[in-house]
Amino acid sequence: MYRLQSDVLYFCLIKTLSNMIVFVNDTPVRTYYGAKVKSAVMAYFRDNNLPVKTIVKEVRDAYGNLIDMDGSIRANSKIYLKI
Amino acid sequence: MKKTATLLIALAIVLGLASCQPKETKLYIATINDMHANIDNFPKLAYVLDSLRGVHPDLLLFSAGDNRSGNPINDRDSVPSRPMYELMNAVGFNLSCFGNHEWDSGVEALRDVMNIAKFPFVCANVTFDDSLNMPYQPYIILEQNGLKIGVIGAIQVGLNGIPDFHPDHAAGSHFHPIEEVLPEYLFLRDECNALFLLSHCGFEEDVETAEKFPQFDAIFGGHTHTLVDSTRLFNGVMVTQALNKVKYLTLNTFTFDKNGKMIAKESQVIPINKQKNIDPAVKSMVNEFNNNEVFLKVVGYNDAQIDDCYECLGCYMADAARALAGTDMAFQNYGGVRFDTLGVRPVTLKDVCSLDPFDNDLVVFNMTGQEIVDFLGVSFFTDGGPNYCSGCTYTYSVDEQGQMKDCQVKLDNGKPLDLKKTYKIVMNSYMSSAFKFQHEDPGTDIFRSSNEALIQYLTDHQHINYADKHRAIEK
Repeated sequence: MYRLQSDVLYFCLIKTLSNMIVFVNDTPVRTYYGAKVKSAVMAYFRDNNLPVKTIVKEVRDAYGNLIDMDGSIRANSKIYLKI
Repeated sequence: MKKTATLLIALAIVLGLASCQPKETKLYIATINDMHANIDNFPKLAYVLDSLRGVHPDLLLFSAGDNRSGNPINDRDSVPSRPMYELMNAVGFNLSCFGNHEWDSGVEALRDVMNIAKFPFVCANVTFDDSLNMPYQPYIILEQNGLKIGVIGAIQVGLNGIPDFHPDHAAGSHFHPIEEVLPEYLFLRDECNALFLLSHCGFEEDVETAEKFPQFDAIFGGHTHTLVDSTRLFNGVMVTQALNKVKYLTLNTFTFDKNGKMIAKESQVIPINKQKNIDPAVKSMVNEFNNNEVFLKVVGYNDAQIDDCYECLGCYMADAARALAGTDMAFQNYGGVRFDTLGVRPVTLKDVCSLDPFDNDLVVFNMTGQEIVDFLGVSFFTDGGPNYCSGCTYTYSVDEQGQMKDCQVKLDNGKPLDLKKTYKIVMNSYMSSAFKFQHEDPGTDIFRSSNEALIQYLTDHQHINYADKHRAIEK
Protein backbone atom coordinates (compact mmCIF):
# COMPACT_ATOMS: atom_id res chain seq x y z
CA MET A 1 0.00 0.00 0.00
CA TYR A 2 2.80 2.36 0.94
CA ARG A 3 4.61 1.49 -2.26
CA LEU A 4 1.51 2.26 -4.31
CA GLN A 5 1.04 5.62 -2.60
CA SER A 6 4.67 6.60 -3.09
CA ASP A 7 4.50 5.65 -6.77
CA VAL A 8 1.39 7.77 -7.22
CA LEU A 9 3.02 10.69 -5.42
CA TYR A 10 6.18 10.31 -7.48
CA PHE A 11 4.15 10.23 -10.69
CA CYS A 12 2.26 13.39 -9.65
CA LEU A 13 5.52 15.11 -8.70
CA ILE A 14 7.19 14.26 -11.99
CA LYS A 15 4.16 15.42 -13.91
CA THR A 16 4.17 18.71 -12.02
CA LEU A 17 7.89 19.27 -12.30
CA SER A 18 8.32 18.37 -15.92
CA ASN A 19 5.55 20.55 -17.29
CA MET A 20 6.65 24.11 -17.91
CA ILE A 21 5.00 27.00 -19.70
CA VAL A 22 7.08 29.89 -21.01
CA PHE A 23 5.94 32.83 -23.10
CA VAL A 24 7.51 33.46 -26.50
CA ASN A 25 6.38 36.73 -28.07
CA ASP A 26 3.61 36.69 -25.43
CA THR A 27 2.36 33.31 -26.67
CA PRO A 28 2.34 30.47 -24.13
CA VAL A 29 4.54 27.58 -25.18
CA ARG A 30 4.59 24.21 -23.49
CA THR A 31 8.03 22.84 -22.83
CA TYR A 32 9.77 20.71 -20.24
CA TYR A 33 11.50 21.51 -16.99
CA GLY A 34 15.18 22.24 -17.63
CA ALA A 35 14.56 23.61 -21.14
CA LYS A 36 16.88 26.24 -22.53
CA VAL A 37 15.97 29.27 -24.63
CA LYS A 38 16.55 27.32 -27.85
CA SER A 39 14.07 24.63 -26.75
CA ALA A 40 11.38 27.26 -26.16
CA VAL A 41 12.15 28.88 -29.51
CA MET A 42 11.84 25.50 -31.27
CA ALA A 43 8.56 24.86 -29.48
CA TYR A 44 7.30 28.27 -30.63
CA PHE A 45 8.24 27.46 -34.23
CA ARG A 46 6.52 24.10 -33.89
CA ASP A 47 3.30 25.62 -32.53
CA ASN A 48 3.23 28.32 -35.18
CA ASN A 49 4.12 26.04 -38.08
CA LEU A 50 7.34 27.91 -38.77
CA PRO A 51 10.27 26.04 -40.33
CA VAL A 52 12.73 24.72 -37.73
CA LYS A 53 15.53 26.43 -39.63
CA THR A 54 13.96 29.89 -39.29
CA ILE A 55 16.74 32.39 -38.64
CA VAL A 56 16.50 34.09 -35.27
CA LYS A 57 18.08 37.54 -35.36
CA GLU A 58 17.94 38.08 -31.62
CA VAL A 59 16.22 36.99 -28.44
CA ARG A 60 15.52 39.35 -25.55
CA ASP A 61 14.10 38.81 -22.08
CA ALA A 62 11.24 40.67 -20.40
CA TYR A 63 13.70 43.38 -19.30
CA GLY A 64 14.94 44.01 -22.84
CA ASN A 65 18.28 42.31 -22.29
CA LEU A 66 19.81 40.26 -25.09
CA ILE A 67 19.94 36.57 -24.16
CA ASP A 68 21.76 33.64 -25.73
CA MET A 69 19.98 30.58 -27.11
CA ASP A 70 21.90 28.41 -24.63
CA GLY A 71 20.62 30.38 -21.65
CA SER A 72 18.43 28.71 -19.04
CA ILE A 73 14.80 29.65 -18.68
CA ARG A 74 12.32 28.96 -15.93
CA ALA A 75 8.56 28.57 -15.77
CA ASN A 76 6.64 31.67 -16.89
CA SER A 77 9.73 33.37 -18.33
CA LYS A 78 8.94 35.79 -21.13
CA ILE A 79 11.19 35.97 -24.16
CA TYR A 80 10.86 37.95 -27.36
CA LEU A 81 12.17 36.85 -30.74
CA LYS A 82 13.14 38.91 -33.73
CA ILE A 83 13.02 36.66 -36.80
CA MET B 1 55.95 82.68 20.71
CA LYS B 2 58.21 79.78 19.78
CA LYS B 3 55.58 77.36 21.08
CA THR B 4 52.88 78.98 18.94
CA ALA B 5 55.06 78.77 15.85
CA THR B 6 55.68 75.05 16.45
CA LEU B 7 51.95 74.47 16.83
CA LEU B 8 51.22 76.35 13.61
CA ILE B 9 53.82 74.31 11.71
CA ALA B 10 52.38 71.07 13.12
CA LEU B 11 48.88 72.15 12.13
CA ALA B 12 50.07 73.05 8.64
CA ILE B 13 51.67 69.63 8.28
CA VAL B 14 48.49 67.88 9.43
CA LEU B 15 46.34 69.98 7.09
CA GLY B 16 48.79 69.41 4.29
CA LEU B 17 48.72 65.67 4.83
CA ALA B 18 44.95 65.76 5.00
CA SER B 19 44.76 67.57 1.70
CA CYS B 20 46.96 64.84 0.15
CA GLN B 21 44.49 62.15 1.25
CA PRO B 22 42.31 61.07 -1.67
CA LYS B 23 38.77 62.23 -1.20
CA GLU B 24 37.43 59.18 -2.98
CA THR B 25 38.48 55.57 -3.37
CA LYS B 26 37.58 53.48 -6.38
CA LEU B 27 37.03 49.73 -6.46
CA TYR B 28 37.13 47.94 -9.81
CA ILE B 29 35.74 44.43 -10.22
CA ALA B 30 35.63 42.57 -13.53
CA THR B 31 32.96 39.88 -13.63
CA ILE B 32 32.30 37.14 -16.13
CA ASN B 33 29.87 34.22 -16.18
CA ASP B 34 28.97 31.03 -18.02
CA MET B 35 32.36 30.69 -19.69
CA HIS B 36 31.46 27.08 -20.55
CA ALA B 37 35.08 26.19 -21.23
CA ASN B 38 35.45 28.44 -24.26
CA ILE B 39 39.20 28.33 -23.81
CA ASP B 40 39.82 29.69 -27.31
CA ASN B 41 38.77 33.17 -26.17
CA PHE B 42 41.18 33.20 -23.23
CA PRO B 43 44.11 34.80 -25.12
CA LYS B 44 41.83 37.77 -25.89
CA LEU B 45 40.45 37.83 -22.37
CA ALA B 46 43.98 37.85 -20.97
CA TYR B 47 44.93 40.80 -23.19
CA VAL B 48 41.87 42.78 -22.08
CA LEU B 49 42.56 42.03 -18.43
CA ASP B 50 46.21 43.07 -18.80
CA SER B 51 45.06 46.33 -20.36
CA LEU B 52 42.56 46.95 -17.57
CA ARG B 53 45.17 46.18 -14.93
CA GLY B 54 47.48 48.69 -16.58
CA VAL B 55 44.93 51.36 -15.65
CA HIS B 56 43.48 49.74 -12.51
CA PRO B 57 46.26 47.68 -10.90
CA ASP B 58 43.98 46.51 -8.09
CA LEU B 59 41.33 45.10 -10.41
CA LEU B 60 39.51 42.09 -8.96
CA LEU B 61 38.21 39.31 -11.21
CA PHE B 62 35.21 37.12 -10.32
CA SER B 63 33.44 34.28 -12.13
CA ALA B 64 29.72 33.76 -11.58
CA GLY B 65 29.88 30.04 -12.35
CA ASP B 66 29.49 27.49 -15.15
CA ASN B 67 33.18 27.63 -15.82
CA ARG B 68 33.01 24.27 -17.58
CA SER B 69 30.81 22.17 -19.93
CA GLY B 70 30.66 22.94 -23.62
CA ASN B 71 34.09 21.94 -24.87
CA PRO B 72 35.29 18.33 -24.85
CA ILE B 73 38.92 19.47 -24.76
CA ASN B 74 38.18 20.73 -21.26
CA ASP B 75 35.38 18.49 -20.11
CA ARG B 76 37.00 15.22 -21.22
CA ASP B 77 40.47 16.00 -19.94
CA SER B 78 41.95 13.24 -17.79
CA VAL B 79 41.21 15.64 -14.93
CA PRO B 80 37.91 17.10 -16.15
CA SER B 81 38.11 20.93 -16.37
CA ARG B 82 41.82 21.15 -15.63
CA PRO B 83 42.44 23.31 -18.75
CA MET B 84 39.90 25.91 -17.63
CA TYR B 85 41.22 26.14 -14.10
CA GLU B 86 44.82 26.43 -15.24
CA LEU B 87 43.77 29.23 -17.58
CA MET B 88 41.71 30.91 -14.87
CA ASN B 89 44.79 30.80 -12.65
CA ALA B 90 46.92 32.25 -15.45
CA VAL B 91 44.66 35.25 -16.04
CA GLY B 92 44.31 35.93 -12.32
CA PHE B 93 40.81 35.07 -11.16
CA ASN B 94 40.26 36.06 -7.52
CA LEU B 95 36.97 34.27 -6.85
CA SER B 96 34.28 32.03 -8.31
CA CYS B 97 30.88 30.76 -7.30
CA PHE B 98 29.47 27.41 -8.44
CA GLY B 99 27.28 27.01 -11.51
CA ASN B 100 25.03 24.02 -12.00
CA HIS B 101 27.38 22.62 -14.66
CA GLU B 102 30.24 22.46 -12.17
CA TRP B 103 28.70 19.12 -11.08
CA ASP B 104 28.66 17.61 -14.59
CA SER B 105 31.52 15.22 -13.91
CA GLY B 106 30.39 14.50 -10.36
CA VAL B 107 31.18 16.15 -7.06
CA GLU B 108 34.56 14.45 -6.56
CA ALA B 109 35.75 15.77 -9.93
CA LEU B 110 34.58 19.22 -8.87
CA ARG B 111 36.60 18.97 -5.69
CA ASP B 112 39.69 17.89 -7.65
CA VAL B 113 39.64 20.96 -9.88
CA MET B 114 38.84 23.25 -6.96
CA ASN B 115 42.15 22.07 -5.57
CA ILE B 116 43.84 23.14 -8.82
CA ALA B 117 42.24 26.59 -8.62
CA LYS B 118 44.38 29.25 -6.95
CA PHE B 119 41.28 31.20 -6.01
CA PRO B 120 38.49 30.43 -3.53
CA PHE B 121 34.90 29.36 -4.19
CA VAL B 122 31.91 30.84 -2.39
CA CYS B 123 28.40 29.46 -2.11
CA ALA B 124 26.02 30.03 0.80
CA ASN B 125 23.19 27.72 -0.24
CA VAL B 126 25.02 24.45 -0.62
CA THR B 127 26.45 22.17 2.03
CA PHE B 128 28.48 19.03 1.46
CA ASP B 129 28.99 15.82 3.37
CA ASP B 130 32.07 16.23 5.55
CA SER B 131 33.69 13.22 3.91
CA LEU B 132 33.97 15.15 0.64
CA ASN B 133 36.30 17.78 2.14
CA MET B 134 35.08 20.42 -0.28
CA PRO B 135 37.34 23.50 -0.16
CA TYR B 136 34.68 26.22 -0.29
CA GLN B 137 33.11 28.80 1.98
CA PRO B 138 29.69 30.50 2.08
CA TYR B 139 31.19 33.98 1.82
CA ILE B 140 34.50 35.77 1.81
CA ILE B 141 35.75 39.14 2.96
CA LEU B 142 38.40 40.61 0.68
CA GLU B 143 40.46 43.67 1.60
CA GLN B 144 41.37 46.14 -1.09
CA ASN B 145 42.66 49.72 -0.71
CA GLY B 146 41.57 49.75 2.92
CA LEU B 147 38.06 48.62 1.99
CA LYS B 148 36.40 45.48 3.28
CA ILE B 149 34.48 43.73 0.52
CA GLY B 150 32.01 41.00 1.44
CA VAL B 151 31.01 38.51 -1.26
CA ILE B 152 28.37 35.82 -0.73
CA GLY B 153 27.94 33.00 -3.26
CA ALA B 154 24.63 31.57 -4.51
CA ILE B 155 23.47 28.89 -6.93
CA GLN B 156 20.13 28.27 -8.65
CA VAL B 157 18.00 25.54 -7.12
CA GLY B 158 15.27 23.99 -9.24
CA LEU B 159 11.83 22.75 -8.28
CA ASN B 160 13.32 19.31 -7.70
CA GLY B 161 15.56 20.70 -4.96
CA ILE B 162 18.81 20.60 -6.93
CA PRO B 163 20.34 22.80 -9.63
CA ASP B 164 19.93 21.83 -13.31
CA PHE B 165 22.15 18.77 -13.45
CA HIS B 166 21.65 15.04 -13.40
CA PRO B 167 20.39 13.88 -9.97
CA ASP B 168 23.03 11.13 -9.89
CA HIS B 169 25.64 13.87 -9.52
CA ALA B 170 24.03 15.35 -6.43
CA ALA B 171 25.29 12.72 -3.98
CA GLY B 172 26.83 14.39 -0.94
CA SER B 173 25.67 17.88 -1.99
CA HIS B 174 22.70 19.52 -0.28
CA PHE B 175 21.04 22.62 -1.68
CA HIS B 176 18.87 25.18 0.05
CA PRO B 177 16.63 27.98 -1.26
CA ILE B 178 18.76 31.10 -1.48
CA GLU B 179 16.15 33.42 0.04
CA GLU B 180 16.07 31.24 3.17
CA VAL B 181 19.84 31.27 3.56
CA LEU B 182 20.74 34.88 2.81
CA PRO B 183 19.38 36.45 6.05
CA GLU B 184 22.01 34.43 7.93
CA TYR B 185 24.79 36.38 6.21
CA LEU B 186 23.40 39.89 6.21
CA PHE B 187 25.53 40.74 9.26
CA LEU B 188 28.23 41.30 6.63
CA ARG B 189 26.46 44.52 5.65
CA ASP B 190 27.61 46.14 8.89
CA GLU B 191 31.10 44.67 8.73
CA CYS B 192 31.95 45.58 5.14
CA ASN B 193 32.18 48.68 3.01
CA ALA B 194 30.63 46.79 0.12
CA LEU B 195 28.43 43.71 -0.01
CA PHE B 196 28.01 41.68 -3.18
CA LEU B 197 26.20 38.52 -4.23
CA LEU B 198 28.06 36.35 -6.74
CA SER B 199 25.12 34.48 -8.14
CA HIS B 200 24.44 31.64 -10.53
CA CYS B 201 20.69 31.98 -10.13
CA GLY B 202 19.68 33.70 -13.38
CA PHE B 203 18.78 37.30 -14.15
CA GLU B 204 15.10 37.18 -13.17
CA GLU B 205 15.87 35.54 -9.84
CA ASP B 206 18.67 38.06 -9.22
CA VAL B 207 16.17 40.88 -9.76
CA GLU B 208 13.82 39.22 -7.24
CA THR B 209 16.70 38.89 -4.78
CA ALA B 210 17.52 42.57 -5.26
CA GLU B 211 13.90 43.48 -4.49
CA LYS B 212 13.98 41.40 -1.28
CA PHE B 213 17.52 42.22 -0.13
CA PRO B 214 18.46 45.88 -0.70
CA GLN B 215 21.43 45.26 1.60
CA PHE B 216 23.45 44.22 -1.46
CA ASP B 217 25.34 46.84 -3.41
CA ALA B 218 25.43 44.64 -6.49
CA ILE B 219 24.58 41.16 -7.71
CA PHE B 220 27.04 39.75 -10.21
CA GLY B 221 24.99 37.11 -11.99
CA GLY B 222 25.04 34.18 -14.39
CA HIS B 223 22.99 31.16 -15.57
CA THR B 224 20.57 32.81 -18.02
CA HIS B 225 23.33 33.95 -20.42
CA THR B 226 21.98 37.50 -20.31
CA LEU B 227 23.79 40.55 -21.61
CA VAL B 228 23.17 43.45 -19.22
CA ASP B 229 24.83 46.13 -21.31
CA SER B 230 24.39 49.15 -19.03
CA THR B 231 24.03 49.96 -15.35
CA ARG B 232 20.73 48.43 -14.19
CA LEU B 233 19.51 49.14 -10.66
CA PHE B 234 16.66 47.25 -9.01
CA ASN B 235 15.64 48.53 -5.58
CA GLY B 236 19.01 50.29 -5.58
CA VAL B 237 20.92 47.06 -6.20
CA MET B 238 23.01 46.88 -9.36
CA VAL B 239 22.45 43.61 -11.26
CA THR B 240 24.94 42.55 -13.92
CA GLN B 241 25.57 39.65 -16.30
CA ALA B 242 27.85 39.30 -19.32
CA LEU B 243 26.21 36.88 -21.80
CA ASN B 244 28.32 33.70 -22.05
CA LYS B 245 31.31 31.84 -23.48
CA VAL B 246 33.83 34.62 -22.78
CA LYS B 247 32.20 36.93 -25.32
CA TYR B 248 32.01 39.82 -22.85
CA LEU B 249 33.08 40.79 -19.38
CA THR B 250 31.54 43.39 -17.13
CA LEU B 251 33.69 46.12 -15.57
CA ASN B 252 32.04 47.27 -12.34
CA THR B 253 33.23 50.52 -10.77
CA PHE B 254 32.37 51.48 -7.20
CA THR B 255 33.25 54.84 -5.65
CA PHE B 256 33.64 55.36 -1.89
CA ASP B 257 33.90 58.60 0.03
CA LYS B 258 36.70 59.30 2.50
CA ASN B 259 34.72 57.48 5.21
CA GLY B 260 34.50 54.33 3.11
CA LYS B 261 30.86 54.79 2.24
CA MET B 262 29.83 53.79 -1.27
CA ILE B 263 28.60 56.84 -3.14
CA ALA B 264 28.42 55.63 -6.74
CA LYS B 265 28.32 52.44 -8.78
CA GLU B 266 28.25 51.68 -12.44
CA SER B 267 28.85 48.82 -14.83
CA GLN B 268 29.84 48.56 -18.45
CA VAL B 269 30.37 45.55 -20.68
CA ILE B 270 33.57 45.08 -22.62
CA PRO B 271 33.48 42.87 -25.73
CA ILE B 272 36.09 40.13 -25.79
CA ASN B 273 35.18 38.47 -29.09
CA LYS B 274 35.96 41.56 -31.11
CA GLN B 275 39.41 42.12 -29.62
CA LYS B 276 42.17 41.59 -32.14
CA ASN B 277 45.05 41.50 -29.69
CA ILE B 278 45.95 38.44 -27.71
CA ASP B 279 48.23 37.44 -24.88
CA PRO B 280 50.84 35.16 -26.51
CA ALA B 281 51.66 33.23 -23.34
CA VAL B 282 48.01 32.35 -22.78
CA LYS B 283 47.63 31.52 -26.47
CA SER B 284 50.46 29.04 -26.14
CA MET B 285 48.71 27.41 -23.17
CA VAL B 286 45.48 27.15 -25.18
CA ASN B 287 47.33 25.61 -28.14
CA GLU B 288 48.81 23.03 -25.83
CA PHE B 289 45.37 22.14 -24.48
CA ASN B 290 43.90 21.96 -27.96
CA ASN B 291 46.65 19.57 -29.02
CA ASN B 292 45.98 17.48 -25.98
CA GLU B 293 46.17 13.82 -26.79
CA VAL B 294 43.03 13.31 -24.72
CA PHE B 295 41.04 14.38 -27.74
CA LEU B 296 42.78 11.64 -29.68
CA LYS B 297 42.11 9.19 -26.89
CA VAL B 298 40.66 5.92 -28.13
CA VAL B 299 37.26 5.35 -26.59
CA GLY B 300 36.53 2.03 -28.35
CA TYR B 301 36.76 0.21 -31.66
CA ASN B 302 34.62 0.03 -34.76
CA ASP B 303 34.76 -3.59 -35.90
CA ALA B 304 33.13 -3.31 -39.34
CA GLN B 305 33.41 -0.82 -42.16
CA ILE B 306 30.49 1.61 -42.39
CA ASP B 307 30.07 3.19 -45.82
CA ASP B 308 27.52 5.85 -46.71
CA CYS B 309 25.21 4.70 -43.94
CA TYR B 310 23.73 7.38 -41.72
CA GLU B 311 21.32 4.84 -40.31
CA CYS B 312 24.14 2.57 -39.11
CA LEU B 313 25.61 5.35 -37.01
CA GLY B 314 22.13 6.60 -36.09
CA CYS B 315 21.41 3.16 -34.60
CA TYR B 316 24.58 3.42 -32.53
CA MET B 317 23.45 6.83 -31.28
CA ALA B 318 19.98 5.51 -30.43
CA ASP B 319 21.41 2.47 -28.62
CA ALA B 320 23.71 4.73 -26.62
CA ALA B 321 20.89 7.08 -25.59
CA ARG B 322 18.66 4.16 -24.62
CA ALA B 323 21.40 2.56 -22.54
CA LEU B 324 22.12 5.77 -20.65
CA ALA B 325 18.48 6.67 -20.07
CA GLY B 326 17.34 3.12 -19.29
CA THR B 327 14.26 3.36 -21.51
CA ASP B 328 12.26 0.87 -23.59
CA MET B 329 13.10 2.61 -26.83
CA ALA B 330 15.19 5.48 -28.18
CA PHE B 331 14.91 7.58 -31.30
CA GLN B 332 17.59 9.56 -33.08
CA ASN B 333 16.68 12.08 -35.75
CA TYR B 334 17.91 11.69 -39.29
CA GLY B 335 19.46 15.19 -39.42
CA GLY B 336 21.36 14.73 -36.17
CA VAL B 337 23.85 12.17 -37.53
CA ARG B 338 26.76 14.18 -38.91
CA PHE B 339 28.79 11.62 -40.85
CA ASP B 340 28.04 8.36 -42.59
CA THR B 341 31.36 6.59 -43.07
CA LEU B 342 33.60 5.04 -40.45
CA GLY B 343 36.47 2.66 -41.13
CA VAL B 344 37.51 -0.40 -39.14
CA ARG B 345 39.64 1.45 -36.66
CA PRO B 346 39.87 2.84 -33.18
CA VAL B 347 37.19 5.44 -32.45
CA THR B 348 38.54 8.56 -30.77
CA LEU B 349 36.89 11.14 -28.62
CA LYS B 350 37.21 13.50 -31.57
CA ASP B 351 35.23 11.07 -33.76
CA VAL B 352 32.44 10.89 -31.19
CA CYS B 353 32.25 14.66 -30.79
CA SER B 354 32.20 15.09 -34.59
CA LEU B 355 29.41 12.55 -34.97
CA ASP B 356 27.25 14.46 -32.49
CA PRO B 357 28.49 18.05 -32.10
CA PHE B 358 25.17 19.48 -30.89
CA ASP B 359 25.49 19.08 -27.14
CA ASN B 360 21.79 18.23 -26.77
CA ASP B 361 20.35 16.94 -23.54
CA LEU B 362 18.39 13.70 -23.49
CA VAL B 363 14.68 13.97 -22.73
CA VAL B 364 12.59 11.03 -21.50
CA PHE B 365 8.88 10.65 -22.30
CA ASN B 366 6.18 8.22 -21.28
CA MET B 367 4.28 7.74 -24.52
CA THR B 368 1.56 5.40 -25.69
CA GLY B 369 2.18 3.18 -28.69
CA GLN B 370 -0.17 5.39 -30.71
CA GLU B 371 1.76 8.52 -29.71
CA ILE B 372 5.00 6.82 -30.79
CA VAL B 373 3.62 5.92 -34.22
CA ASP B 374 2.36 9.49 -34.68
CA PHE B 375 5.73 10.83 -33.54
CA LEU B 376 7.55 8.73 -36.16
CA GLY B 377 5.30 10.14 -38.86
CA VAL B 378 5.71 13.75 -37.73
CA SER B 379 9.48 13.54 -37.37
CA PHE B 380 9.79 11.87 -40.79
CA PHE B 381 7.95 14.77 -42.38
CA THR B 382 9.72 17.50 -40.36
CA ASP B 383 13.27 16.16 -40.57
CA GLY B 384 13.06 14.83 -44.10
CA GLY B 385 13.95 11.25 -43.20
CA PRO B 386 13.18 8.39 -40.85
CA ASN B 387 14.12 8.34 -37.19
CA TYR B 388 16.74 5.79 -36.28
CA CYS B 389 15.71 3.66 -33.36
CA SER B 390 16.76 1.35 -30.56
CA GLY B 391 14.61 -1.23 -28.81
CA CYS B 392 12.44 -1.72 -31.88
CA THR B 393 12.36 -1.88 -35.67
CA TYR B 394 9.69 -0.50 -37.96
CA THR B 395 8.50 -0.61 -41.53
CA TYR B 396 6.73 2.18 -43.37
CA SER B 397 5.80 3.49 -46.76
CA VAL B 398 5.69 7.04 -48.08
CA ASP B 399 2.74 8.60 -49.89
CA GLU B 400 2.84 11.05 -52.76
CA GLN B 401 2.92 14.03 -50.40
CA GLY B 402 6.03 12.68 -48.71
CA GLN B 403 4.15 11.63 -45.58
CA MET B 404 4.95 8.40 -43.77
CA LYS B 405 2.10 5.86 -43.75
CA ASP B 406 1.48 2.24 -42.77
CA CYS B 407 4.00 2.39 -39.95
CA GLN B 408 4.36 -0.97 -38.21
CA VAL B 409 6.59 -1.09 -35.15
CA LYS B 410 7.96 -4.34 -33.74
CA LEU B 411 9.66 -4.44 -30.36
CA ASP B 412 12.95 -6.23 -29.80
CA ASN B 413 11.07 -9.03 -28.02
CA GLY B 414 9.31 -9.77 -31.30
CA LYS B 415 5.94 -8.43 -30.23
CA PRO B 416 4.17 -5.64 -32.10
CA LEU B 417 3.91 -2.25 -30.45
CA ASP B 418 0.76 -2.10 -28.31
CA LEU B 419 -0.90 1.16 -29.34
CA LYS B 420 -2.64 1.53 -25.97
CA LYS B 421 0.28 0.62 -23.75
CA THR B 422 2.61 3.29 -22.34
CA TYR B 423 6.34 2.98 -23.06
CA LYS B 424 9.29 4.94 -21.80
CA ILE B 425 11.27 6.46 -24.64
CA VAL B 426 14.22 8.85 -24.95
CA MET B 427 15.16 11.37 -27.63
CA ASN B 428 17.42 14.39 -27.82
CA SER B 429 16.17 17.81 -26.77
CA TYR B 430 16.18 19.12 -30.35
CA MET B 431 13.66 16.45 -31.37
CA SER B 432 11.51 16.98 -28.30
CA SER B 433 11.22 20.69 -29.02
CA ALA B 434 11.24 20.88 -32.79
CA PHE B 435 8.84 18.10 -33.73
CA LYS B 436 5.15 18.79 -33.36
CA PHE B 437 3.89 15.50 -31.98
CA GLN B 438 1.08 14.65 -29.61
CA HIS B 439 2.28 13.65 -26.16
CA GLU B 440 0.42 13.75 -22.90
CA ASP B 441 3.67 13.64 -20.93
CA PRO B 442 5.64 16.89 -21.48
CA GLY B 443 8.91 15.00 -20.99
CA THR B 444 11.72 15.18 -18.45
CA ASP B 445 15.20 16.45 -19.16
CA ILE B 446 17.60 13.99 -17.54
CA PHE B 447 20.47 16.52 -17.77
CA ARG B 448 22.74 14.07 -19.54
CA SER B 449 23.91 14.88 -23.05
CA SER B 450 23.59 12.71 -26.14
CA ASN B 451 27.34 13.09 -26.56
CA GLU B 452 27.93 11.73 -23.08
CA ALA B 453 25.75 8.74 -23.97
CA LEU B 454 27.90 7.92 -27.01
CA ILE B 455 31.10 8.01 -25.01
CA GLN B 456 29.63 5.97 -22.17
CA TYR B 457 28.26 3.31 -24.52
CA LEU B 458 31.52 2.90 -26.38
CA THR B 459 33.50 2.86 -23.15
CA ASP B 460 31.23 0.15 -21.73
CA HIS B 461 31.10 -2.02 -24.88
CA GLN B 462 34.55 -1.23 -26.30
CA HIS B 463 33.62 -2.78 -29.67
CA ILE B 464 30.74 -1.77 -31.93
CA ASN B 465 29.52 -3.29 -35.17
CA TYR B 466 26.79 -1.36 -36.92
CA ALA B 467 27.60 -2.22 -40.54
CA ASP B 468 24.40 -2.73 -42.54
CA LYS B 469 22.29 -2.06 -39.49
CA HIS B 470 18.81 -1.13 -40.69
CA ARG B 471 15.93 -0.78 -38.30
CA ALA B 472 13.69 1.65 -40.19
CA ILE B 473 12.74 -0.07 -43.42
CA GLU B 474 10.79 1.51 -46.22
CA LYS B 475 8.46 -1.02 -47.85
